[in-house]
Amino acid sequence: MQNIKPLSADELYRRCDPELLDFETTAELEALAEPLGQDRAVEAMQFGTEIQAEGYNLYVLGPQGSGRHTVIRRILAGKSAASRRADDWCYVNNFQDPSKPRALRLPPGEGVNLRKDIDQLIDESHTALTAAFESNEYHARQHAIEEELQEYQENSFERLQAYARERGIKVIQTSTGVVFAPIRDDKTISADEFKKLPKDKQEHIDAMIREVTAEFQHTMQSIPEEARKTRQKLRELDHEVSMLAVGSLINQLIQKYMSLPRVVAYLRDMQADIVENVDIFLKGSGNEGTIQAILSGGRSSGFEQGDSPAMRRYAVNVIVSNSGEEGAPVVFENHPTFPNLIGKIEHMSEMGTLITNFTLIRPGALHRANGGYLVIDAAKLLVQPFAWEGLKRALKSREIRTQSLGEVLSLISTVSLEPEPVPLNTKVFLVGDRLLYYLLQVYDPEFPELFKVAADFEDEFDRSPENSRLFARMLAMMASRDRLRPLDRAGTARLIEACVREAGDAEKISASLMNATDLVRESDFYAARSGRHVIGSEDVQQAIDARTHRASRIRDRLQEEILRGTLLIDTDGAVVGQVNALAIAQLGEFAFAHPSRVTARVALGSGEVVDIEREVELGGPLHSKGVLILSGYLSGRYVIDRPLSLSASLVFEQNYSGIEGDSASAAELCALLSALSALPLRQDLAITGSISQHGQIQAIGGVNEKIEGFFDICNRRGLSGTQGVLIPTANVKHLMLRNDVVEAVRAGQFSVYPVEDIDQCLSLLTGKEAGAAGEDGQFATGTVNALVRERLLAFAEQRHAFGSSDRNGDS
Amino acid sequence: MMTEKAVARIRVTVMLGNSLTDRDTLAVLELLQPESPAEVLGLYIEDSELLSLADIPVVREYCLLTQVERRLQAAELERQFRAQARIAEQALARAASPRGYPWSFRSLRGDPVVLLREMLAEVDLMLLGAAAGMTPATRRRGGGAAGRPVMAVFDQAEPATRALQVAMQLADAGRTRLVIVLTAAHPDELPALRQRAAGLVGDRPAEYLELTSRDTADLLSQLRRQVAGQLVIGVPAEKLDDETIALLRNRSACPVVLVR
Repeated sequence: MQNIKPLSADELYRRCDPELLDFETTAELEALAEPLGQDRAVEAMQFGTEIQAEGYNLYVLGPQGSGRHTVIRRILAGKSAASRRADDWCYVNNFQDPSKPRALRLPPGEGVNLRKDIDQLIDESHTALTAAFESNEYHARQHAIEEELQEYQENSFERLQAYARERGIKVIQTSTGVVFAPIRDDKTISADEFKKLPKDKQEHIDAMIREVTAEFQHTMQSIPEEARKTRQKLRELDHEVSMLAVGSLINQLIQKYMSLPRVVAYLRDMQADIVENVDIFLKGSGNEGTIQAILSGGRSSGFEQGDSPAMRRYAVNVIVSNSGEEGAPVVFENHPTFPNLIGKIEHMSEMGTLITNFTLIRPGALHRANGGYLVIDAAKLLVQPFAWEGLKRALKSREIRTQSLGEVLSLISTVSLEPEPVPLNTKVFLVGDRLLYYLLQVYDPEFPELFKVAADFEDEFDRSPENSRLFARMLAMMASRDRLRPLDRAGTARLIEACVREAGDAEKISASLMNATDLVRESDFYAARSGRHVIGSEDVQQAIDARTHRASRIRDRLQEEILRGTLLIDTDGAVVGQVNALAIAQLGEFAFAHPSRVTARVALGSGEVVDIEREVELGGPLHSKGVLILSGYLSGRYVIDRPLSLSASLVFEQNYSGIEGDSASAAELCALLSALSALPLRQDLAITGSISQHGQIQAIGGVNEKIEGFFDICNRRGLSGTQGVLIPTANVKHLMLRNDVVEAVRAGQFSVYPVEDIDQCLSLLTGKEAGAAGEDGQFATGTVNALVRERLLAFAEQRHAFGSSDRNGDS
Repeated sequence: MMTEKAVARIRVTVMLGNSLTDRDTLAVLELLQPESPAEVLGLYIEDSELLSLADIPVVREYCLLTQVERRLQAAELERQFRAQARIAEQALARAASPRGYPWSFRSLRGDPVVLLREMLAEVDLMLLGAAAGMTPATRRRGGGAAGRPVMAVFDQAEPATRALQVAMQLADAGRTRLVIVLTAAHPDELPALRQRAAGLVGDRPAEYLELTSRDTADLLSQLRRQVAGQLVIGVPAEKLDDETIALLRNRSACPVVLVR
């Protein structure tokens, strides 16, 4: 029989030697700001931030708490400081089409200056225009023009009166027009006098009145044309005076902004508009005509009391100002809704109507990050309606087109704006988990086009002495940053060990900064409670124990039910076709394992191994795969020259919630072989490992939790000294077992056996030689394998016999 | 025994009836700040001449607003008079009530010139509206009389002093210039007249114009050249002939304040 040696206590836990750490407390250490072991991701991010080609945005993928944001912040802080400040952006009125506000780009800090300059210009224009239009010179010229028309009218009227008088007609003005009446001796004749006149005389008067009326109509027709000429002259006068009043003011600004052609063009348009709309400067600064003012481009941000219509019309809406910034903008958008990303156009309710204007355009994160970097959580982005589509559209078109969501979806028909799009030059960082990344890669064809750089964060990094020391510096940084107590060497070593256990691998350290940070904080809490100024190993251990205790209610209840015999688990004796497998449960952040009884029954059949879990759909595909391998193993090893003639069933007893993974396939094979050989299996042992078609035991996950799960049951029932767990040899390097398990092993009360193949498992579980096949393919008599082969051959014979009798019967 | 102290009220008559010009006329009323309490009479005159013409079949009215010619009919003319009187009364109420003036309104029928002359004998101040003109006025920046000077006629007659005082009051209230038109039969009289006016005006800035013609038409031309907002004339009732009244009523480019 093979002599399989259990692992020594030292092999079950790789301590972190405090002597490796050359400090007394972490307070002495230089802080290490950068997460360890993320060279690949950092390199990808450096590449992604520096390359300027289209579509090279980044998806930063990795587990929660792996320091993705820390690295992003650090890298972007450096990039931002080394980059030029981003430009300012403003929206201004489009005088030709107020529904399409113009976007103006200005050098950083100049947006606010332009706003101040224009506010001042408007203020000064108020004064200059008021003075100009109230001047005697203006009034003299204005009245001279008006007088011309007046004189024309009076002359026309006098001419008409003379014309009428020559014809014996008087022109009398009434409140609504003029009356043409016959006169005699300069006095109008009465109705009686008229009636006494001869008929021909009456007709003559009538003809005269008609003649005068016709002449009057002719005169009247010329007056509107004269009035039009007068209005034109007045307009030209206003234009001339306005230009004189504001021309020099605007020219000063044009000189100042000469290097910005679009601003200069705006100022020229503004000048033309002021001249055309000079009345709004002369009507005072009241809030009269609010709706008209707003519709024509009034200032909204508040519609401040006292803002003049001119102030509103010529306002500068600075949507992005980088005046106080140092370097390129870095924006972290925590609430990436569509409007928060793309910007929005607000509306105001005015007398029951929703109205808007260019000053109600609000910037989004893309505006603020333009010329710099935008960091968004991918999961948050994808759950916001249309936010992902909006972001992609902006990145693809390389411009920000601000629209309200209602408008995008054609849900509202309120009059809205169509602001000029702002050219976009932003590097976007999406931060998310791996699953999301791969789903986007598969299901969104635009994603690979727009996010060409993946910065993949490691889950863990190598546990070398150098890395342990660097990790200590990182802990120093955490303690210092969060104003916590420093850790002493033992405390640091214990914390490193905890992070190694978190990685589930004695040769790796978990890269989860969140876990490490939390543990330091919790250890600090217990150190404070104990009145210590330095965090020691006992504080760290207390924090770990407390954390486990807080999370372990389900585990404890499960163990209780096993101890009470509700869940049937034997930890002594031997039973045919029954073995202790180990199942792991993950409840949030807490993982634990518990033994689970696997049983097998065999009978003559057509060569199928029935996985009852699979039949009732409690088993996942990986579990089914493990079971299906068993058929191949049985026929390939034992009855290669005969049909496999058994019917076997395998079940996880008292499993009501489903099972996944193939880590119990070794246990299932042992139970099956036990059933075939009729040899009982030890119940004081548990086994975990997946099986290959050649009978090799392959590595599984959660080895530490599984060993501890069986140990806890045995320990609470009382350790017999024979109890233990069979684990794949490949998992030995992952062992970081709890101290009580290690001490039990050290005391010879519990064992952990590394196994490489099924024969070793059978030897340990049955206490008999498994039996190797000879050159003739036969197993030594009395060995487990020989018994299995004999049984399978017997099944084959019986099946053959049944088949012959069936055929004979048929014939 | 109680003694009653009689308080003399200034009697102001406002000639109304043309909605295009009434607003400016009533604006003058609002600017008046008489030291003594005032009582206001609104006056609307139904032109009897027009009514007499209404029965002549060949007489037509040409409407300036619609440019449509129609027969002048007595019944319609009566309705128009009533409607205009009602509008004028409402306008007077809006102007007089906020200032606390006791006001009344009368509608008279007759020859407007004759009636005005008669009324002028009974009041201290009379306001006449500007002539309506042939077409609606061209645009005037600022509208109404705002910013336009107050023109006062100053001559040897005794009411001229009171007229100048009213003009100063209007100029102060309207924050506008004061233009004094010195009127005399001979140029030699003008320096003394100016000295007298300057004495009354005191430190207040004023511009002076000299006019040796007594022709009202010349005065009205001067009024137009100065683009005045109000014309204030001091007149003893007996000196104001019908022709002058007709000219002031039909040709003035701004409201006229007649001061007795």
